[in-house]
Amino acid sequence: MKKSKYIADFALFCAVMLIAAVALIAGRSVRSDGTSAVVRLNSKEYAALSLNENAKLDVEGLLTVAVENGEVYILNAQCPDKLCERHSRISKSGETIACLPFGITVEIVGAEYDALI
Amino acid sequence: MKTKKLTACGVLSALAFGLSYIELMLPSLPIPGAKLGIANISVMIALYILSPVEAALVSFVRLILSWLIFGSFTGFIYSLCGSVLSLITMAVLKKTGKFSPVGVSIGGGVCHNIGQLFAAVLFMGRSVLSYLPVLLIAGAVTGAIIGLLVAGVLKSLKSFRKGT
Repeated sequence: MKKSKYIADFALFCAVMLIAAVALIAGRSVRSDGTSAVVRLNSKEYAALSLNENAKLDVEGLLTVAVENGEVYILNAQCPDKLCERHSRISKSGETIACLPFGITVEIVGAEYDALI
Repeated sequence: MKTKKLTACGVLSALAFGLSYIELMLPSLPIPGAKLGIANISVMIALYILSPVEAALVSFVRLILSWLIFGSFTGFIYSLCGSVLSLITMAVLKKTGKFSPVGVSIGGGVCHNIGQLFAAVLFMGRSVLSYLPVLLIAGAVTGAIIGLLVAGVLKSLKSFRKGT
């Protein structure tokens, strides 16, 4: 294997990392403190929870969305991998926890979203 | 020659399916939808020793088998979107002749995750796009690992084929 072959590979790897970093920073910079959590089931809105009060919402017996001190996390997921339970708590607008097996997403929305409803 | 091709396709499809099964037993990465993608080893070998058409065939047979045996239909759609985009990317990257199997695999891994995310947008709405950066990184890293493995396999395959 010629050395020059790996240079293109490395460049591709770096390009992907750079794009990811830019997307990450761009995503972060537009974030504000969230006001509520929108729970969607198969892309249809299922419920909206205010972040101002602690609450627990059972979604069709599949999982429980918990709000605690303005942060949202998942409990009691009935799927095998339970990745959503391991996700860090979310509280800023645009942050999302997704549960692929059940098609459920929980997205934090800020004041600009509340104005729409 | 035709029989040889057919046999290679069959062996690689079986291998891809076996690798999918092993993948299921490995602990999953803590990112939804991200996997190491070891079945791609077999698909890439098909791409290198046969052609893109055969690689697509191996990939498709594997997808159908894992859907029927362990998967759900949604899982199948996710994998299908990922695999189609990944295969096209890998075939194009290989065709340019600028990349080693490592680079081809990085492109494949990244595009597999992009394809899956696209399917997730259709199923769950645009909010899942916030997973894009971490899926890009995961795709590049797993792609590089798989690419290194494939490069190793191709090297030994080459000397093996010379010997026969």
